[in-house]
Amino acid sequence: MFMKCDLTGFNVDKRVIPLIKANAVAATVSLLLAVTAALLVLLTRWQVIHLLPVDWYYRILTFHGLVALVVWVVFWEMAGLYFSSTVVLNARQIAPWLGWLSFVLMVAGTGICAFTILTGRADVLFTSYAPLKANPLHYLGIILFAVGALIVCGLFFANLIVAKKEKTYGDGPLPLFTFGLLTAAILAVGTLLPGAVIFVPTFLWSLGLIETMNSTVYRIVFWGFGHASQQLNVAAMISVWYLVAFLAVGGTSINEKVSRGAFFLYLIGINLASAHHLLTDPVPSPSWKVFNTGYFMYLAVLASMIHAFAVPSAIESAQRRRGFTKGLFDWLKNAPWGNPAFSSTFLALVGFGFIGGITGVVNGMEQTNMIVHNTLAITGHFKGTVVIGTTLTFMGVTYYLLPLIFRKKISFFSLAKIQPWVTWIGIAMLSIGFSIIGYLGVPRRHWDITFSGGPFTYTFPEIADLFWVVSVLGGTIAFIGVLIWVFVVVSTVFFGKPVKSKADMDTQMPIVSQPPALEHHKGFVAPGTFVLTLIFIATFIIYATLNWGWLSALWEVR
Amino acid sequence: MALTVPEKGWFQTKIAKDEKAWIIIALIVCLSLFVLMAGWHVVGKQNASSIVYDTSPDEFYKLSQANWRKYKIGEEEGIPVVKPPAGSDVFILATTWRWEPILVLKKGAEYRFHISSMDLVHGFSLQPLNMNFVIHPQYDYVLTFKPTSSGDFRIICNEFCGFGHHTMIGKITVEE
Amino acid sequence: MVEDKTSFLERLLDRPIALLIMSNAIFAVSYFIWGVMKVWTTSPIPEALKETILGGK
Repeated sequence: MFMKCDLTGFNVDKRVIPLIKANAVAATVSLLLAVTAALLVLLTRWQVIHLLPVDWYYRILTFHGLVALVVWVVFWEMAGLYFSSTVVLNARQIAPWLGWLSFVLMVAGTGICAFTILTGRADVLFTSYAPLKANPLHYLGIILFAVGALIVCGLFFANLIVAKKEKTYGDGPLPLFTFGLLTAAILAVGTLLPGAVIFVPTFLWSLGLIETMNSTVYRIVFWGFGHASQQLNVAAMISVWYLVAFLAVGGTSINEKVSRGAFFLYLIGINLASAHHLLTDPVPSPSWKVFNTGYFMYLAVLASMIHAFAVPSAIESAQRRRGFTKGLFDWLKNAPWGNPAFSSTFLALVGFGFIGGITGVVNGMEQTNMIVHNTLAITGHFKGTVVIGTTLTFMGVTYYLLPLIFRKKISFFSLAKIQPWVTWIGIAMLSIGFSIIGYLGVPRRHWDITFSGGPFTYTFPEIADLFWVVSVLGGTIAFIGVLIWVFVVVSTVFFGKPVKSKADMDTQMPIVSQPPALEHHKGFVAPGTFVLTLIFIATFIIYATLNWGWLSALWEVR
Repeated sequence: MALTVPEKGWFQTKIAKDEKAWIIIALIVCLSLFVLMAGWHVVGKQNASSIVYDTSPDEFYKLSQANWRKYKIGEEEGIPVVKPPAGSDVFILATTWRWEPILVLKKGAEYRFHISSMDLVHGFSLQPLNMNFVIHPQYDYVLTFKPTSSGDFRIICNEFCGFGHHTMIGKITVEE
Repeated sequence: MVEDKTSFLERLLDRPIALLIMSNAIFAVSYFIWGVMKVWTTSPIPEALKETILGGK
């Protein structure tokens, strides 16, 4: 049942490899569908082209939201859960048949949803706020998908418990990468359960078995699912950052206690952040809003900022020990930028922090949320988290999965090297463009912002037109970036040369050995990272000040 | 090490100076944000209200009609134009796909807005100010506004409510 | 006797199921239960207010 991996030395359960492959393939297909839908949506929103008619716009938008925010990332994370709880721990996979059952459930769920949406039976968008009603099949599809994913989380916990009992990974706590994914799996249970909890009554309501659905309860429970599912992406993404820092430069967290402590803070506080979706709702009360979005006094924000130091400092420390000690940023200049997994990770980290992180924290404050709620700025924010962070990270680490799991040398490697940059630039433009347009008042999820057919008209400030061009350009570039990735991945899997030895791997995606140990010294371990984080905090304070200044100029309301 | 068990004593390792400094800075920023959010309720002039009542579409419709009848000054595009006195209760009705009534307000005066939906969840988005609130059916959201600028304003719907969503636009005029 | 040096937090971090329960218990109480209770305890429009609105003037 086991084979020894000649590249990593891990004892690999042969039965888990096809499970990882199947989920990774499903994820790739979903991503391709999601970005194609995204481009159609974007070209409709840009009034100059206004591509789709109104019904198809909302249909494709519903499809895009569900496939991008849930299907793509969750399939990928399932692959990650299998990998981190077996391969990394030299452990066996418990009940692989259950894994296959859940895979079938998830694929079937996705298929049912896609069918109902694309046949016009579920024009309710991703959020499907009751009393907006879809065909019962739509809710059934989501329930099947959530149940499938929950089973995989259960398998993950079972694998961990058995591995510990059988002492497959030595005596001590889990490796950091697996611990991070444990955090993600715990958050996943917290998100998938509410998902099932809210969609079961909604399903019954849609069938006519329940009379009414309370719209506020729906929103509370839905966001317990809808936002928390993005928090598990954050935990999974950061675990991958630690993994890539380790593989690509031999970097390890400069303090394991700090990194694990930060994941622990996520476990306490991050899911409560779901409350920021309800900041401008009539209920629940302000105390509930402040307490929950205060994430227990911002414990989760603190945790993200800790990771924001811990990941680059792991890279910096390793690079410095390897001799790149000149100045503040010699280590960064000499980082392995030719390794697409590394460049993806570093770009994702910068993008996630500076774009997604800063907008997220400020937009998520109770009062400043009033300026951006349901505007395109929110869309801009999550392009800066889910896409530039999570998606880019997952795409990047796939370059390691190809030789390690699929045992193929990457085809068109020079294309692979530029792909992270293309994607990053595109998404950064899209995200910043959308944010600015949103601050100008443009709503999200809106077919025609000239309000044709309405009793009045309204014209948004002209400067918005310029940022529409920036956004459309960015979106198109990002789309091309994803196409390059899909092309490289598909041609590698089907036509790539097999990886026969470690030498084959070293020419493209080397697993770098550990640098010499840190000599005891008193100064800063990562001065470059420290400067980067100070720049970050300065940017954050400027952005927050602008928002609060804007807020104080609005009409008074209480 | 991301892929291996941490070395013995990992829990006792001292935190490096720069990392410790960063954690302290981050903690201070987080605490300030929390204080700002809670403190704005005391010193700030822009806070979402805590007043909300249970209602029903029928009841809210009846109240709205009674309220508009009192202060109606005309009609535009088939929508009543209402000019409520300063300090009064104002009723705003969201229906797919219409905002009613058209309001004429006075700058610097306070009004208690009651906003509710007849059917789906809608988004109350006041432009060009860009102030946004979520409006539910069955709930009367009471927001006390004090217009501090005059001119023509629009209420657009920014929560998806069906294929006519983009035609849902209303008007508020604020006089000097 | 060997002194047990591992702290509470260190042991907790090595217990997946304990972490699972802790994390989701906090989420359930602070977010869901409190939130849904707030929804259930909203009050109807006060009669006095209704009378002034409906009453002719």
